[in-house]
Amino acid sequence: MQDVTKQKIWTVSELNREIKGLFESCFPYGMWITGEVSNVTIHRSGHVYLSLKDSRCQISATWFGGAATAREMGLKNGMQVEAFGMLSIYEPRGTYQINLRRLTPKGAGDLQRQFEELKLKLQMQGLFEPDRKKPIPQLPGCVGVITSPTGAALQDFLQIINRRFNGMHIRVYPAIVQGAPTAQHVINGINFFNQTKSCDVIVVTRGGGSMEDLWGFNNEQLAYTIAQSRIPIISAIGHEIDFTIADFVADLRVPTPSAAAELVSSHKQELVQKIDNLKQRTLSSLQLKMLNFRRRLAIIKGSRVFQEPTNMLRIYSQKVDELAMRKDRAMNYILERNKIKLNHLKSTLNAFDPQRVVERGYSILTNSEGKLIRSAEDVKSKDEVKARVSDGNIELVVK
Amino acid sequence: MSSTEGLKFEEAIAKLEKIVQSMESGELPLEETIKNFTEASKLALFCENKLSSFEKKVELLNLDGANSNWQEINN
Repeated sequence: MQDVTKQKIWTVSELNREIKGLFESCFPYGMWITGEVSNVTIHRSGHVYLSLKDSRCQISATWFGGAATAREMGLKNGMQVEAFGMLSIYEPRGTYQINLRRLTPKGAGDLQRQFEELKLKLQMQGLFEPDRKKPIPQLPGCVGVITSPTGAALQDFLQIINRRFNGMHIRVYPAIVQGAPTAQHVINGINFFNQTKSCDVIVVTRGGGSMEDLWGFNNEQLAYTIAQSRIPIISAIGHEIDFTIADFVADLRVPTPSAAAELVSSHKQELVQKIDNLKQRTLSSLQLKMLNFRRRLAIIKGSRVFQEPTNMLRIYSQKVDELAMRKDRAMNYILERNKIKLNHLKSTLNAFDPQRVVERGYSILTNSEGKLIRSAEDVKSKDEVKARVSDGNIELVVK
Repeated sequence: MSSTEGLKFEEAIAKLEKIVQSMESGELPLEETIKNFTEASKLALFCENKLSSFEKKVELLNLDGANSNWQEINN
């Protein structure tokens, strides 16, 4: 049997420290734990104290700096949660507990999953539809910026504005754009600009960060506020690769604060050029029109009629001469043909001339009335008839 | 075809574009073209004036309960 008096006498603090060392070396890594919340206290210090339990057991938990997130998610007793933390001994009380780093309602523990769920829900409600996006004004008289007044995003934004264009009116609504207050601040800013009508386009912006940093922009209420804003909203949240719900609902999403500045300011430079271009085009189309008319006029003025008016007369007189000649030629031709025809008729006629027949020794008898006597029947006794011979007539009496 | 009074910038520039297009079609009578040219010049001037009428100003909202007001800041 050992002499208990020779053994080391521990103080309570020593013992608890020893146990803490042993205990924490057994669980050097963080772990996930799921259970029901009880005894929850959200302390003014910003820490949250609670117990996690199941049907048989419970464990104490502290969540340092978790108060804001806990309030946002409405942490209360009876809630099933998933939490991540490190096991530890609380030396002053000799109790063990889990120090939480993250706590989310069960079934929504994964931020990405929450994100996808909210995105799907809003998408079903038609909040991302292209046809409900408002057009960004080409020339915003005043740009309202909702961001942290001390953040790098605002500096980037103003720097680009200064470099590109010197006539812009910027109004900054100061908002916390990191952590739990983000959604409410941005909502307030959008409502403020809408109620006061104090800008023509709103830029919601902040620099890049982790998914947790940007988490405030994945807020359902914020999504509805953006959708209902009468002033068009440009979102420029995080970097190129970061997409938040606010980006999907906004009327236009640009990847960075600088891109937003370029967008609202480049418009003016483009417009100056556009107007110049339009002016140039009006002038040249008028000049072209005039030139065309001048050309047409010049062609008309240069035509023969105006150059040598007498030419026209010459052309006509030439035509008259030509017609006269053609007329003469036609007449001659007709005369010639008729002459030939006449000669032909004359010789035909000659062949049948009775004189010719009489000259050959025949004679033609006619009665006292001058009628031709062709038959013996034509005369009776004592009739006086006339016989024509080649050189004259012979008076005869029929016996 | 009237004055530019009461026009918004976007409306003015849209009108200007339309006029230029019809002028460029080359189908308008000369009198109409000249009338268009006058109108276009007026619109262009209006747009340019509008563009240069903006002054640079950066303001920060001073959130003071109900009496929030804009304060100019240098950047």
